[in-house]
Amino acid sequence: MRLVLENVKKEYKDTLLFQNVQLRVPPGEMVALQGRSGVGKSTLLNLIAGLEKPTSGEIQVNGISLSGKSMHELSSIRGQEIGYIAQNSPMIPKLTALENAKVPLWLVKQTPDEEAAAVQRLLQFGDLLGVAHLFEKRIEKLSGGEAQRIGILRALVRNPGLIVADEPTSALDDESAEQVIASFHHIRSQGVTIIVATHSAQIAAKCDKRYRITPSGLVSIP
Amino acid sequence: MKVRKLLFKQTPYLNVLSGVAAILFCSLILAFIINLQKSNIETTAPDQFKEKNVYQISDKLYNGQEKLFFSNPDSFSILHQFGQKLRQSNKYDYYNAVWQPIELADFKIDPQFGPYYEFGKGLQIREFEGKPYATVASFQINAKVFEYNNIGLQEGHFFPSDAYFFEEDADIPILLGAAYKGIYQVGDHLELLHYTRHFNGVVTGILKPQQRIFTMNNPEAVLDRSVILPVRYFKEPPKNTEGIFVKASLYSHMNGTIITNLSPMELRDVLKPINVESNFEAYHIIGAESLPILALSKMTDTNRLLLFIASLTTGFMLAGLYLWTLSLLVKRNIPVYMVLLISGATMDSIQMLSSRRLMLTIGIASLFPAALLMIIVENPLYFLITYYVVVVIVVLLLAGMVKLMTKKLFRRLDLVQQLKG
Repeated sequence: MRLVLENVKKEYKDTLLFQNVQLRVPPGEMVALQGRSGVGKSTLLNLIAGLEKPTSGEIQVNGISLSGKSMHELSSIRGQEIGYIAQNSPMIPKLTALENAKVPLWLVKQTPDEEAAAVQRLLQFGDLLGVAHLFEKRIEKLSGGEAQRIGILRALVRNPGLIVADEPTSALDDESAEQVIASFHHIRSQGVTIIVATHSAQIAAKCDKRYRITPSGLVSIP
Repeated sequence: MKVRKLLFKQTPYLNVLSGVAAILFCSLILAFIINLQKSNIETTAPDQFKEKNVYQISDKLYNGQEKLFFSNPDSFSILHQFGQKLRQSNKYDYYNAVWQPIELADFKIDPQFGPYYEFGKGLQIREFEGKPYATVASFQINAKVFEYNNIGLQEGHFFPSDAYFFEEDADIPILLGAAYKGIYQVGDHLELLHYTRHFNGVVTGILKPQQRIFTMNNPEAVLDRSVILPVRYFKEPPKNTEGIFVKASLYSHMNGTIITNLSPMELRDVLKPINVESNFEAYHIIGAESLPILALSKMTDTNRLLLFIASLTTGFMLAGLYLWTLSLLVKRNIPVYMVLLISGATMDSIQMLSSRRLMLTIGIASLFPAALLMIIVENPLYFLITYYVVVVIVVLLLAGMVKLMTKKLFRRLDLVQQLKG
């Protein structure tokens, strides 16, 4: 299994967000998490990405248990195993689109071969997402949709086994959203697991499985 | 490294501002150290006189008494004995600083070295044995003067211990005030007239600028434009047939200053056996005016306090400015931190970036004042070591503050929550 959640519970300031969350996702599967605003979709994704710790329960990514890990260890796992796409992907001003996409590579030492492979991957996914021609542009010159696709590219640059995407198309027009969905399908076909929190029925319909988050756990949506 | 470059690129003006604040801060530390050291030197001399009584020994040989006294064939011997016993007593410190102009041969320099230059008088030149001699300001001092005043040399050495005794044909060691630098140098031989008697002298050292000594007439006599000779005591009692030089020297040897904890009555008791043994009673003990010395001491203390307060206030303001620019930098870099966070950086490592930035900025900034110090100060090693010790202490203190500040700032910013949109 690429991702396993066992009895995950999260309280925030003594308020229960959710509990009994169970999930098993094999490699290459795309799962949608749905639910009303504030129910804890983003929080669950943050738990999976190791940005926050659960109150109790077990999370495994690619066979690695996140339980009992320090924030430093969780960050290391996040860097290696997980690509994170935020709702409005933060971008670093004054850098080009390509430089923004390459930031995760700056946090690790890489051999020239690894770097070349990463750049190759960027070019390949850049084409797929329709942003390769924007690489040399300053990020401020890009539209919201273009910047979001650069955010997706950044999540893929270290070739993670799991992509965690929080409302990736909420800021995009229909055409851009379609491109993002298409790229997710392509990524998935290469064995990458995708967990996406979304309000979009368009995205949810394209996912292999759909779940609604409730305070008492995940409910499968047929 | 790339991340640091990236952060610098984001906020170049703020980085420059924080760099300038750090340079000013380091310069202030350096200026404070230099001034504190200087004020310490200036305070040490008056502090030596603090809580002590200063008395002037003065002869009563006037109004016909002089003629009567010197009619005695042993008068020179009596004066010599009295002077010798005065300085050999271990009950007090015997301090001899005599202001007495001398004449230098072939001296053709500007009139500022004249003894009455401050009163608008030029150099007095006279012929002596076919050579022109100019009257210049001079002090004759004994070894106690060096002990009580922090006199510094810029080159050469002080008087050797045997310089304080008169030798007929020996060269007199000479120290020159700082204004003489460039006119004479260490090793130069000078011909001089002291109380009209001809001597050969050799320059052994040149004083640092603004060196001062306490004298009875001036609690802070500046030595810059003076020629300093040792007071030369006679080993053997001189004969009455000796000329004006010996007579004047004997006078100056006994008209010295006593620095002691003794009260006037106690001192009188201490001096009684001396005047009995030497058979010389024609002297006064004058309680010296201690007010100027105390005022001087208080003034230097006040100066030091003012310096301390001014430095502390400016230091706090600059440190505040620096911390403020740092907090602006953190706020301006939020998008960078968010990208780093989702790319695999920890909050701790992001906070550490801020602390390291502080170290790096102050580390680089500290080089500028240090370079200036190397250029403008001779022998800067002492200042350099003290400066860097203080800089390291201040940086550690600031790093602690920065760590707390950034931790609080990041807790308030809560980047993880901001990622949720």
